[in-house]
Amino acid sequence: MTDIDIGFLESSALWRDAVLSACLGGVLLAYLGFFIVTNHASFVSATVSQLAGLGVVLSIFLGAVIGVSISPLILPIVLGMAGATLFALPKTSSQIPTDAILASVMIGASALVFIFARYLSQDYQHIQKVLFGDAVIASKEELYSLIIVSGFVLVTHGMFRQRLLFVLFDPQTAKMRGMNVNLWGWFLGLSIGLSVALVTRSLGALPTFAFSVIPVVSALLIVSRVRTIMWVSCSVALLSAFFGYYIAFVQDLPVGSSMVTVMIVILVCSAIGRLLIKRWRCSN
Amino acid sequence: MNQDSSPVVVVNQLMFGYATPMFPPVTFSIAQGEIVGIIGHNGSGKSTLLKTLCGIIPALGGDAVVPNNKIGYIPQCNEINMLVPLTALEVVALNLVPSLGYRKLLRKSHYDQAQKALERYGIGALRNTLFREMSGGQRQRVLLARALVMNPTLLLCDEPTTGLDPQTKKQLFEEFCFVSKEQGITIIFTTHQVQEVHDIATTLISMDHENVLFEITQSEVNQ
Repeated sequence: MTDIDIGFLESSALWRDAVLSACLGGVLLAYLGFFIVTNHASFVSATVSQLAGLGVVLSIFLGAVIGVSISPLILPIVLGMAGATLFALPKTSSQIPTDAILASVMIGASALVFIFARYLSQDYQHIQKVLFGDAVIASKEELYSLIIVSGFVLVTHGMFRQRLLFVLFDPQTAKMRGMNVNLWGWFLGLSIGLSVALVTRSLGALPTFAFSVIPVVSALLIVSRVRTIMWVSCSVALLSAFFGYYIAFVQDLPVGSSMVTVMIVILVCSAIGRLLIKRWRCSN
Repeated sequence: MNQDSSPVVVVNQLMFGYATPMFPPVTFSIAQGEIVGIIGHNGSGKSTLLKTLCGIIPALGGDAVVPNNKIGYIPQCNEINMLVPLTALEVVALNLVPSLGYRKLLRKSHYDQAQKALERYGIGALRNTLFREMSGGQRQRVLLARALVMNPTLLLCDEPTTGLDPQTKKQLFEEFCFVSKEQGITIIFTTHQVQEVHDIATTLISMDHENVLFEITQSEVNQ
């Protein structure tokens, strides 16, 4: 092992919780990413993570400027879940496309983050973490919250996965068969909103958005069965979280950006792999 | 329409549409084993009527009753989310999920049932093929197998022949006739091609631009 590896391993007490949070959050979002991407809802994830980021900054702002102390988990969860639930509801207007509404909310949340950040110059590190995911350390509270939410998603989705797939694949027939499509959409929105909000609080908006989209896209490029896609997607997230943190540690780079870079490298490899597989199939 | 045998569908003063009724109240009934073609131009309300009959869209007034409520439904393929990579077997088996208890999942017996349904329509060998990678004709057969796996008394098909070549259309209509004659299942399908209704339907419902619903029997059509 090199000196850098030894240094990394010796300081495990420093990064253990942060890496665990990143791995857990990444895997959780990579699993949910299947439902996000196949439901054409990638920008729902982006908007919800931006809203959750706004919640984090607003919590800091309320504490530092106004003197109102709120748990840093509450506002991100409230705003994140409100956003996810809103976009999970049936569309009432055909005049305004959903992506335009999403873009408006996302831009508004981003602008507000910068406005509140203007008053928080002494909390610059916090803001950086929220926006770009410079999560060098993670609190026990964040880790335990993630474990609880992951458990909730694992158990409920394990129980209802076939219903969710049916509603996702063919909502009209599911409705005809007596399923409450709006309720299942709301449940999915709740899972996504809660998870995105918590992971944003822990990792920041940039890696949160990336974890909910890039791993599953990598998986979709190389495998084609639902279960396999989920396994590959979660594995990509796990590798990206760990090696992203490792690279950031040894090269002194921003953690969130390093994780996203690893994800992009894997995505490019998957795309090349897909091309090679296609050529091989054509030649045979 | 046929009033001799016990009706499979009873429609009484039904008003349908998304916000306001598209037509004056409609009343008719359909007997067991009939093949009913709903014909009309794009936007005339064919699919809306079909979706109201099976409860996807709530009626704006009156009611549509299917006595034992066992309805099979074949949607238009563009209403299916092709990004979800399900195999033919999974597509058919998932239609059994709503019949299970809330906390129950599909078991091997359900997949066997789905496999038998696929085999009945000559696509058992395609069980592991992704639905989105199938041809239009194969997809319609999978959707037919899916609709019939729960032994319905009424089958509703929304433009089942869209995008199919003449040969595949003919095969699909043969399947419809088989299902109607051998299993006594009533079939209602929508189309905008008059010839298709002549080919197969025993009864016709015509929806024109003047918002009037006609009911014409096949014998009248032939005259």
